[in-house]
Amino acid sequence: MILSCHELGWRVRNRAIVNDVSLSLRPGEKLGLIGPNGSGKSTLLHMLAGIQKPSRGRVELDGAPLAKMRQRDIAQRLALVEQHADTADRITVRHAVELGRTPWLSALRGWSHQDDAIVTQALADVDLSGFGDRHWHTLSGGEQQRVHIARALAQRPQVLLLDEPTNHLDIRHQLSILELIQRLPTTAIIALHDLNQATLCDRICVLENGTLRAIGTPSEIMNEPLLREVFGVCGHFLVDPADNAQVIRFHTATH
Amino acid sequence: MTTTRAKATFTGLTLIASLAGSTVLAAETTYPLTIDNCGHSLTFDSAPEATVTIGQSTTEILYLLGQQDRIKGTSVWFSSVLPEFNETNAAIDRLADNDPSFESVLAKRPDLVTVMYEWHVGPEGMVGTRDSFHEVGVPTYVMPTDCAAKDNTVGADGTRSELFTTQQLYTSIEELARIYNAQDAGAALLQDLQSREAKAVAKAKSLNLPQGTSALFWFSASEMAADPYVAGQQGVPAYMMDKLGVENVVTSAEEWPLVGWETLAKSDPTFIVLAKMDRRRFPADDIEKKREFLMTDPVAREMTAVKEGRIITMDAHAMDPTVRAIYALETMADALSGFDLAE
Amino acid sequence: MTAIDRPVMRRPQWHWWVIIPPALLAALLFGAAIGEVSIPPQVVLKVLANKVLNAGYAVDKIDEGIVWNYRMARAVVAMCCGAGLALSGVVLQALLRNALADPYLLGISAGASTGAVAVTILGLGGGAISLSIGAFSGALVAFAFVAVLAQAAGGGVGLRAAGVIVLAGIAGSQMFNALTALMITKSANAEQARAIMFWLLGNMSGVRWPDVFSALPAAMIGLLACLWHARALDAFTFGSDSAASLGIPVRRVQLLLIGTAALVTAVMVSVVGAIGFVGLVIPHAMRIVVGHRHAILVPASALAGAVFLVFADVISRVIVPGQVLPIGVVTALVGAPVFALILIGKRTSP
Repeated sequence: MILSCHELGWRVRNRAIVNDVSLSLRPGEKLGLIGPNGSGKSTLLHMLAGIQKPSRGRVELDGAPLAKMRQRDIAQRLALVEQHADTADRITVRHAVELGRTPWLSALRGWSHQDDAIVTQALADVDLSGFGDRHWHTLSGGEQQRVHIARALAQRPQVLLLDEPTNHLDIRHQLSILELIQRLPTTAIIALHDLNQATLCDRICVLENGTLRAIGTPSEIMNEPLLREVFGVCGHFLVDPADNAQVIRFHTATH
Repeated sequence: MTTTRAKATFTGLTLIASLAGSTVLAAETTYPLTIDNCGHSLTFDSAPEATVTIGQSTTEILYLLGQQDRIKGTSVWFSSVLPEFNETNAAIDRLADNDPSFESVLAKRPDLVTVMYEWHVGPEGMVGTRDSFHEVGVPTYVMPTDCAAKDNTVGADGTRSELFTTQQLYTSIEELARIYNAQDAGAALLQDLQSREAKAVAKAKSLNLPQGTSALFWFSASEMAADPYVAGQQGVPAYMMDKLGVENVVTSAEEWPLVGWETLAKSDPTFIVLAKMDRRRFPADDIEKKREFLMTDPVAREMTAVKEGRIITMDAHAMDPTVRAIYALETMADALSGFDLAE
Repeated sequence: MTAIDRPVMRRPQWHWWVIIPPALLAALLFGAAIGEVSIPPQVVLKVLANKVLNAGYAVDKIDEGIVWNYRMARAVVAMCCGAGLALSGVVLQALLRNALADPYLLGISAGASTGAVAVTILGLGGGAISLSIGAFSGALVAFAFVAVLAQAAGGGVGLRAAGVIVLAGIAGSQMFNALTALMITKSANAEQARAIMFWLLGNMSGVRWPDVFSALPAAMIGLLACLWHARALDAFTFGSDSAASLGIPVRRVQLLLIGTAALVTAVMVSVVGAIGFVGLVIPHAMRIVVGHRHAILVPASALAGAVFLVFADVISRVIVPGQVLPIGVVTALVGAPVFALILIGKRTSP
């Protein structure tokens, strides 16, 4: 159990945004986090990353309580890719990715060739080799998202938390990012809107109004009653003749 | 009445005797009296009975004219009242040490407000504009010392277009004497001041000061070592220097310009005059602090005047257009004679 | 790996450490050589040789005092203030993610004027307390007020916290400005108000060597704190949540660096008044010139601020003969066109 949380909750003004969520991740596992808008996915990820302090419950990273860990130690093991992180600074792509090395550096431990190599690798991983000198504000939304992922990869984390990483991306880059995440040895939680993409994960966790509705393998979780009750849609399960994989086709619930 | 006043009246009488027949002898004012005052025309049907003063100088002139019973309130004080008027002054309501409010002036139901500085009642008057006083039927009299040949919109304390002359002060006294129907007292006061001025000038001439004798008048400074407020080219100190045949090391035409110590030290004045005041707004208001600065500052202590101990203390209010300026002229002439400057 | 991926920004960094000592020395020399009165360069050099190398040349005592005790002390303090204000600007702009953040954002200049006015107009301390001490105390009280207000109005990290600090700063400034206005209308006259306003616009005229003992440590503390946290400041590029996910203890760094910036600014305000423009624009100008990495931006801004303020001080003394302009007026008059030129120059060159 590399990352786990127990009875995690966060309330604001007496409204529970996240309520009583317990889950645990096995090393190397990819967990898809799905749920409608406002179901608490981002808040849960922020609490798991140690950025948002929970109102109740606790998070454990490698068996140690997250609340007692230094932010720097957390960041050496866990990286978060946020949904809308932008800057007005005129920085280059390479500079943005280099920020990922921050938890490994200090005033005494300066930048090294190894850090250079890690940054170069991270850029290559997200297919941005050659973009190093481009300025941040000249990138498309999808390219910016890939830079954020590269920055998280440069942290060399054991756990990667991604908040809708395929947003803004064209289909080719959506697939390449997901494939990249699948390939990584890293444990990952990926908040996703595309339920078909979620089925590529090892397990899926469904949030509804801040509570954990279901957690399990895609075949255990994805069924018509859940889609209707949580997302308010009808789902038809089809099979892709190319690889016999299951695909869900959606209709509005009135059908 | 104190002895000083008695003496002043006496000298005044001798003047009247010697100038018998001149207009000075017109002892009674005929009302209505019309006076042009700093761009305003004032008409008096009788002598004012309830005066509020804004400015120490105008207050003290009215005391010297014996008009204390007609003053209902005073304001804007810079230092202690002239010692001979301690009792007189204690009996009169002091509206404020600094600027009085418009309403506190009106509350005294004055039939005349006399003003030392135009900026108290000028176009952006701190107390109220002259027009606002006149609208409620209260005439204001501004001393010509602050409006004749002086532009109060230029520089921090205004800028004179020509050198201050004691004639402006004498005009003020003469006009106030007429307004209050106190022309005998006015003539006596004028005679006293004029003779003292003449004696001081004669004394300075007799010192035979060498060419290039120069002076610096230091009033105060916002911080001890900061650029100080010093006397400019046209004000009362400049008049004193002119009368005594001394050059001002400060070249600005402003009344009290800020000039750096770098410039002042290099100009190396023959002597330095320090203002002594009761005000304690800045550390440099204290004359002892000014002396200490001159003795200890690594540059100022090298100035010739400091090394030779040629430092004169002067009542700060004497550096304003007041009767004290003339008393101070005497003090300065005396001090200079002690410096042994003659060639 | 392609050639274009080489870290192009990192290489020029060492240049700064080579440029800094001669640039500072040149500025000091300039500050010592030029002033209200003209002193021949050879006299200036002799004085410096006497003071630094104990050379023993015969020099006029007044000239010596002017060059060493007035001009040199002022140049050193101007450097410290320029560096300190620029660094405060760097820190606040980085942490609050607000391009308009300047060192006075936290109520410091408003508090300083309240303190100065309380001392001079209300006569607090009866002349024993100087304008500087009044201003320093006022600045600290105002900052404490802003900090408490920000804390009470919304903890947490992230954009919201930065916004709350800015708002608390505005509220605090308004309140202390109102207090100042109240004191002035209640008990001051125009002349007093003018003297204080002039002082607040920035006034280096009273600066002597003792002021170096407060300005220099403040500037050094500011510089060291910023250099030590250069990477942390970088980590705020994408906001404070992002900084937290990069391992920065956001709360502690914000508290420490904003507190340091406030303290440094309060010291500078108490020594020379609230000199505007430097803290706002020098960091922006330096970002354009050297980029956003704080490991370069911090020393570059400190250097530029230091040199800039020495020049501004000299200009304020010589531009109007026989009279001294408030240095704040000069920083804006000279600084704004220079900044405009840098902006335009950057746009035309790709």
